[in-house]
Amino acid sequence: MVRILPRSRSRSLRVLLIWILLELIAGGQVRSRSGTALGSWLHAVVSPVITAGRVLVHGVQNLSWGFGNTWNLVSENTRLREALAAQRARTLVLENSLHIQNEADHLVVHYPGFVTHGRIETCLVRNLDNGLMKISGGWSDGIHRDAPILAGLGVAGRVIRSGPHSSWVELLTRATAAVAVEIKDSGIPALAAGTGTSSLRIEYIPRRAHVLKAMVLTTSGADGIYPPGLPVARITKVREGNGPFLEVRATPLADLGRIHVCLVLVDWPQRRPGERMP
Amino acid sequence: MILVLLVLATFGAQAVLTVPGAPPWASSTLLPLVWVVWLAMQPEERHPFIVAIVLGLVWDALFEPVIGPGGIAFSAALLVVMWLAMHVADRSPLAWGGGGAIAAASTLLVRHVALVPLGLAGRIDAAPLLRSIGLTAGWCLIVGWIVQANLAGHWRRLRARKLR
Repeated sequence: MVRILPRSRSRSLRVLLIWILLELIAGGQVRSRSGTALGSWLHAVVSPVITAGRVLVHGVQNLSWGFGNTWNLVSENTRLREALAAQRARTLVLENSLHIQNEADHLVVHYPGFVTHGRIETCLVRNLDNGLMKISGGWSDGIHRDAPILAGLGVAGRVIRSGPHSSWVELLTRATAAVAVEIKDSGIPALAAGTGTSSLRIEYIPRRAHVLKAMVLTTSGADGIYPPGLPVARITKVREGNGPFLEVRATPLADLGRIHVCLVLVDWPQRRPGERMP
Repeated sequence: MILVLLVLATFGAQAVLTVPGAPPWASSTLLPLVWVVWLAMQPEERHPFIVAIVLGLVWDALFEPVIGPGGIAFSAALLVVMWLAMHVADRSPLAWGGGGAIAAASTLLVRHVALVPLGLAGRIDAAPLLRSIGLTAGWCLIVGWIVQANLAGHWRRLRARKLR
């Protein structure tokens, strides 16, 4: 009897299978409106699987659609960001162009007599440490060596080397630069020399001359390079030294650190020495 | 062969109990269950589980609308009674009666459970259930007493004595 009883798991499983088989046989015999009971059971077993499969397929479809939409959104966002960056760049360029145009208008207003004899060029490269600046326009545009450069409120320097489409300018503050100047009010001649810094050293002003701070220096035209009467610098420091001349310092009126455009005097009308420009 | 004839006789008697016109309580007696109890009491029987299933299927074929639940119910009743017989060494008529009661209860309950998925299960009323359990237990008690009394042995000895 002990041997026959379904003690082990396999025997229990066998008994269970036999019972299930008998139940299935009975289910095949029972008829209902929707068919046999066995069919109903099969439908009850298969239906959740089919439903789960449909839900799974639907979920996968939604997931794929979601991924696709997300990808489209990311692509659209990237495209919009690129468009925004391009728009900002265009705005920046336009602002720069507007700024340049304003400076050009400013130059036209300040130096109306030179507009017909000069060219408005843009600053390409500027290095205040070595006192050099590169501008657009070269000898093909009529810009040659020693052409004076005006920027902002005064003289900025002169062309020292002219290429076909660009030119190098020596700024006033370069250590090797010098401009023949005179004090605007008294007409005392002097020489404004570069120091390699942001200031100019004004030389050859007699000790007895009437010189005060904030006086403006203009070109005298004595050097034959710059037309006379152009504003150059403003005196910032006057000191009596041991020598025969005063020790005078000045700051260029042209803001050399912010130059965007400049007026190149290509063919300025030569006047007699001392004759003022309009 | 004699056993097969006796089984068939049992089913025949059950059929007689269920004919129209018989007393209502008569059909509540599950006569074939005595063979289930007998199988549980016989440790030398090799395939009692299969025999119980066959008995149940025959029951279904004769007295039920569908074939299958009877096999489940008879085999389940056999397992229950066998489990009890393993733990109870008593083989007296009383043990036969107890086994018949338990077999009847197991058969009726398991059959009801097996009919539920088919949509054929009705209500279980306590009175018919208890009546069926009691009648089947009484039937098994009688059979157990006959077995213990060894009437067949007495009959064979009586025949031998007459032949001398």
